[in-house]
Amino acid sequence: MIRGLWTPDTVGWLLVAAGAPVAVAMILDQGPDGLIRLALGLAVVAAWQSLFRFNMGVMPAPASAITALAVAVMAPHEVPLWQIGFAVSFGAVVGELIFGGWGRNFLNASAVALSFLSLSVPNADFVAGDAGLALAVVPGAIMLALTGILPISILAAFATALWVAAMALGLTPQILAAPGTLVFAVVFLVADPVASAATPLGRWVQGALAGAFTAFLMTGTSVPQAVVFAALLAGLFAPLVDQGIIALHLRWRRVRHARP
Amino acid sequence: MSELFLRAIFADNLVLSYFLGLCTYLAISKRLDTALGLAAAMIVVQTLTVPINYLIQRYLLLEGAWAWAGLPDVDLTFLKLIAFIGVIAAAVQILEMTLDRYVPALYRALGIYLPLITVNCAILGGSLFMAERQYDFGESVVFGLGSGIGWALAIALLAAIRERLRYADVPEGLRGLGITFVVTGLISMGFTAFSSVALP
Repeated sequence: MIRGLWTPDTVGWLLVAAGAPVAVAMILDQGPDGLIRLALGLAVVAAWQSLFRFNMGVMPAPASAITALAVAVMAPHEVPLWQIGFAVSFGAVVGELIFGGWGRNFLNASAVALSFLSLSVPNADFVAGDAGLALAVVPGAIMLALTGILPISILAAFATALWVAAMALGLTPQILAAPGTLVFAVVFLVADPVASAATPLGRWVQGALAGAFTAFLMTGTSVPQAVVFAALLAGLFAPLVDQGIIALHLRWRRVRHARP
Repeated sequence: MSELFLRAIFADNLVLSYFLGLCTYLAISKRLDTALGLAAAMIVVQTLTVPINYLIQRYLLLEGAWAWAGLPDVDLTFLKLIAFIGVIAAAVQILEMTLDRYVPALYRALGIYLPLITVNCAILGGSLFMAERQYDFGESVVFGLGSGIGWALAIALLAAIRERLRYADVPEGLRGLGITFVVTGLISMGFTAFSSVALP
């Protein structure tokens, strides 16, 4: 306890704990197939992490298990196992490990893995989770929000922007048809504790961007693919949003505190 | 018109979809403020040169453009490339003198890359796309502005991400340009959503 309770590993294990009910719900829903995909994903993540641990000194992180879970939950059922392995590898390595591991990455590895999979099999049906999946996400999300890991501002901004944009584009029925995917994606892909914007105002902007992108992309594709790409795009915009907010803040300070 | 504008920014982004102008894109993206300066210069040059090149092509180069002077058979299309490059070089020269006079700090920060905008593939590519897709004058203005903004958005995103990556611990062999290429690929992958998924 020299370093205190709040180490990166604590955060990582809390994320894994939040994902556990989702894993159970997914296995109950998909049967042994789901279990095999999750196990394969976890094995692939573990293999890459040990490779990077022993060759580059990158410390393994429990939170990376979420990548395996996200791919197992959302990937289309007809995708063969080797493609699942490929997608998880891409997410874990290019999204996370080459930047120095979880905590130093700038994108959510699950979003990277699922976008990669979505480009590999563009016409497959990504799983549009039902209300059961959404319910399984809720306890973990509440726990993460109470411990301050999950930025609530992102959730609120995402929901508002998605709803307003969907109303404007006339897409509300599609949103109501896929509650599980949306709730899962916003909690585990968009509102990432590492990769999301760092400034409080920036989080509102990022969540709103993700919601608006989701609604816009839904005009041309299925809801799960739209929300995955929206999460990736919002993550790409997050550093720029942060820089903009910081520049504005500096200007406000100068106006407020400058001596004439 | 607004669809063409949005397409030029997102789906047909010059740097992220066609990989044009990568040299400047990678070299000037270490710091956000310099990148924003170059981004503004790109928007100005692109918005000026695409419509000017349209006018030159339409009224000087295309077959029959000299009909008013009693020369209906003259076809100067073979001069297209050199005329476009001349216009771009002149526009950049004027921009350079303006920056040197009014924003000397940015002029020094951009250094050699400002004159190199002359040979930036994104600028010439924008004009050639205009000629190939046969835009009219209004469309060429919108396309010039949109593609300039798209290029500017791409370099601003990359510069902000690279500033954030100072906290990253990249393996030895990938530091510098290597990881920048990887990040560019990831940004490009995100923008693919606009071209391949949403707007087929």
